[in-house]
Amino acid sequence: MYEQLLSTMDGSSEGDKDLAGELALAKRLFAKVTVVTATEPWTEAVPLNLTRLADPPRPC
Amino acid sequence: MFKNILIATDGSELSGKAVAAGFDLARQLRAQVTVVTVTEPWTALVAGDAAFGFPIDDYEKAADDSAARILSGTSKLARKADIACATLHVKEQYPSEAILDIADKKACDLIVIASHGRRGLERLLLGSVAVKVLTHSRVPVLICR
Repeated sequence: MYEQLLSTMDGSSEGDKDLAGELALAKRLFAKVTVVTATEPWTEAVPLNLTRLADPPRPC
Repeated sequence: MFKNILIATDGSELSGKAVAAGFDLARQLRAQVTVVTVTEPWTALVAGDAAFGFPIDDYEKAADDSAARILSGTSKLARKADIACATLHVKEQYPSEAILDIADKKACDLIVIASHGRRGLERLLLGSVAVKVLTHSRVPVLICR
């Protein structure tokens, strides 16, 4: 059966609730749990006009 | 924890994996199981001139026979594994809708289903029952591959 569970979290209250369920499931299955949270790439998280501010100066 | 598991199967080899995974989980969690197989409406499969070559009576008989074979196999497995298992054949309904409907009516707290892993045009044309179930389900879904 399942021995390694991967649990994902984004810091939301729904995520916390899910984690509690996943831990309970892991306990019943005697499985190990890895909890992961991911950060999106900076370029996708920052709107285009803001990323321009961070562009390196171009030669004239 | 999960006490009432719904396993969806179409009798395929991959679905067999979902049945096995669902039964394993049910045994460990001491949960009861409902196994469902769904027959699509005849009109969804046969259109136009092809309908003359595949009359509705023949289709219904073939669907009944196929469902009976699938469900008797899973019942046998459940008895062997000592799992409380009910079986259901839903007729004339689209699979994803039927699975969600049964999960709701039977108050299931987990749906176990296989994904055939279709890609590209095949996926676009045939869709994915598993993805539709996952998208619209109100309870957790275990997709087996």
